Amino acid sequence: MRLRLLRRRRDGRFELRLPEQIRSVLAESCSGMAAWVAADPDDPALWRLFPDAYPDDPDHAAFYRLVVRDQLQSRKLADLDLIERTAHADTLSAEELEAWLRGLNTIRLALGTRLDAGEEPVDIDPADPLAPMWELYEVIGVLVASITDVLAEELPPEGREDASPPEPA
Amino acid sequence: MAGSIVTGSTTPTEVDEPDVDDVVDVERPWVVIVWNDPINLMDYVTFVFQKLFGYSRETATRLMLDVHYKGKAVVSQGSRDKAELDVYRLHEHGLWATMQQD
Repeated sequence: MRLRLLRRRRDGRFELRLPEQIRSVLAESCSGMAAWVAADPDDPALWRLFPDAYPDDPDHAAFYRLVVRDQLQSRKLADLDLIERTAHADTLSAEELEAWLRGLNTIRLALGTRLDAGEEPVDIDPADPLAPMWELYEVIGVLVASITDVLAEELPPEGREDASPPEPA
Repeated sequence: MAGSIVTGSTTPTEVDEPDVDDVVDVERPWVVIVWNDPINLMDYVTFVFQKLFGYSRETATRLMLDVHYKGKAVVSQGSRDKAELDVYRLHEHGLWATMQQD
């Protein structure tokens, strides 16, 4: 399913076609997510947002966390804040849309971890107390897919000349 | 390198030998690994590899498929500083990345 939620205009900005209701839900979700990330980035439920860089080396892992955790937290908060501020905008710049993509993915990671989501699509049971959370997870998934589609179009398929990919395994 | 030990027991070369080994060890490349997770969308992961590393769509897709089907993939390599920066940028985008010395 690919709804035309986004359209690139000739001037390089992206037109956002979202119902008001969804925009309000997104703004509210960003505000809630930001409060969570700001309050307790060490919450184990948020481990996917702040993974260990050195899984087999506790000393280096702790040092890495010490050095970059605050910066990583600030970046995530900035993305969420930008979505909240532009939730009702008609158009977004490419940079703003990239922040939307990262911020929405942040929320999706937290929701997916909380829901213990798997790779297969889920039939949402309306009687399930978690149904609203599943619905939000699905809506954000559609948005992430749509934004990825339009932003991928902006990248050269042949890649950059200076890129040095690893050898195939 | 072994030759210098044989040819002169008092030459500076012999003293320098362990340093050379240290340098070689430090220079061993670091690899950045991305691990599979059930939440990130496949197209999103491909996009992040293209965006961050400038890989072609073909290369980025191959790496994404390795992550998805093999559980992990080495996505970049280099000095420790470069690897830490790459891990940071991947974490910024919500990918599950770690680093280790090759």
